[in-house]
Amino acid sequence: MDDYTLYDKIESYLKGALSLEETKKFEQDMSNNPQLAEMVKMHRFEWDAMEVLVENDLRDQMAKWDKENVSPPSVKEIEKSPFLGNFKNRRLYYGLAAAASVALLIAITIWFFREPEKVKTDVVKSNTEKDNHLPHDTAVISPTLPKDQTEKDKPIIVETYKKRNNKTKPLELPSEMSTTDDKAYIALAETAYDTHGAPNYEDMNASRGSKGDNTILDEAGKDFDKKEFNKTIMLLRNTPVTDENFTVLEVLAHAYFQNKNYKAALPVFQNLLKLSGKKSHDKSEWYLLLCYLANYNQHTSDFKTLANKILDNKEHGYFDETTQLLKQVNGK
Amino acid sequence: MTDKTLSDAELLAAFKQGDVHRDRALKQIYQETKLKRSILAYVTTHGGNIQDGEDVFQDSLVLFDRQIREGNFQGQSSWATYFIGIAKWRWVSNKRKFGRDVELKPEFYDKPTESVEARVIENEKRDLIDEILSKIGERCKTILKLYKLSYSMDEIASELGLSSPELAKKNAYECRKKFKTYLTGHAEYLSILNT
Repeated sequence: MDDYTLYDKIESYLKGALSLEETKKFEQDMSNNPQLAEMVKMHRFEWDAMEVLVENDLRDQMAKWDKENVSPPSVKEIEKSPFLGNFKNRRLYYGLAAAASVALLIAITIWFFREPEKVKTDVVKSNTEKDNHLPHDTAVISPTLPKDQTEKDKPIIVETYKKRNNKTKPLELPSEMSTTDDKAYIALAETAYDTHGAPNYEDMNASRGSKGDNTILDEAGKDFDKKEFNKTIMLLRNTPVTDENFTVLEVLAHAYFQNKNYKAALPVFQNLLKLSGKKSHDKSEWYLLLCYLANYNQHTSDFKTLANKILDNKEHGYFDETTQLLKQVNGK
Repeated sequence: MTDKTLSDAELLAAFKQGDVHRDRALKQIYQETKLKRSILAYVTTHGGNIQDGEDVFQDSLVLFDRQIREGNFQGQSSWATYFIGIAKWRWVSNKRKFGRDVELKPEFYDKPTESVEARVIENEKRDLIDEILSKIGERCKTILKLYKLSYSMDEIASELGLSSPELAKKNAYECRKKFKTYLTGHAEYLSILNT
């Protein structure tokens, strides 16, 4: 039997394409011929290898589909949560969200269509201004700038803009950002989260004014402190609340984050910021920033915008932390 | 190709047609929010967290795809029931593997009528195979992948710009030989794959 014929025979045997009689004969041959049995085993390994190729391909596809999915299910889940349904000002909430989206769109459009030289000046100026409180290797506008960037160098974002502006097309974010490994950003976000102290329920609850019936929230808080985040999430996702929206959102957001479900944590942190008063505003911005970082490839511009906003205010409660975080992002 | 949702029958037919039709069917399943939610709910109420649920969902799609390609699903239940059966089986197997505290009875995952148990290539072996595959070159990897996806030699020849199906067959054979040669030259790899 030549190589090809034997190869086909083994292939048919493994596919179950031989008749019963042929199968019996082939198995008998294998038991009498260890060399043949070894060949069949090797053939199985080859099959496994081909299956791994198909599997890798499918997993790559899944990652691609995840990126295509503009509204992840977690956002919908949050929107459908009973406690959000009980917001008294739900209409106002949606109205504000819509207005903010339009404002953001207009701001981005204005930014894109400004003169290239103006953009360049702004970027350099922005970096110079930051020199007052940031080290030289901290580039706020583009985290992809090289560490030894000087003012003479053209920032990547300007080059990209110029290139595209020649074709009269709007500016896009530098493409290299989208290929960066998510895991590295997640690791940075987690480290910053832990370094600056993960909150506990007692702290979150301390700021709560009302002392109504909060049995379920307290229960969820206890689970949260025991790091049983699944239980916390399950309890709060299905628990109607009255005037405790802020604390519920706060506990839920941190439970999602610590459970490493950053996609689900994001809209909750966004809502939390909207509900934040003066006292908790800076903290809410900081945690939202970490959440953007954990979802960096999908929220690069959100991350940069919020980081810039925090650094524009030297009195911000998390100014130093944000400075440090940006240095780490730039050094990635 | 339109974006219309495929019916159950169309979806299974798409798997058999392969190529872009299979991709479309897989994408539709992957984006079935209800299906994903029920699997996440199952895992999170049976000792797992949301990330475990996400992993089980993705693993289940890989296994479901293989079961269909290998003809192990005959349509005795709906594909969704079958898919959920795979997911439950996968979660139970994971728990058994990692020794989580649970009594593992078959009825635990109320199997559908057809067997959902698939041969899983575990991570350690998969990483090893990946490493060996990286030695055989991209072209060989493409040929072997298409072969596994039941492309005919004619189709493989056409995809790779080869002059004849015979040449495609010869190339596929050579690629497998390359893989085998590398493997037999590394006894330590063989011993891991044999476990």
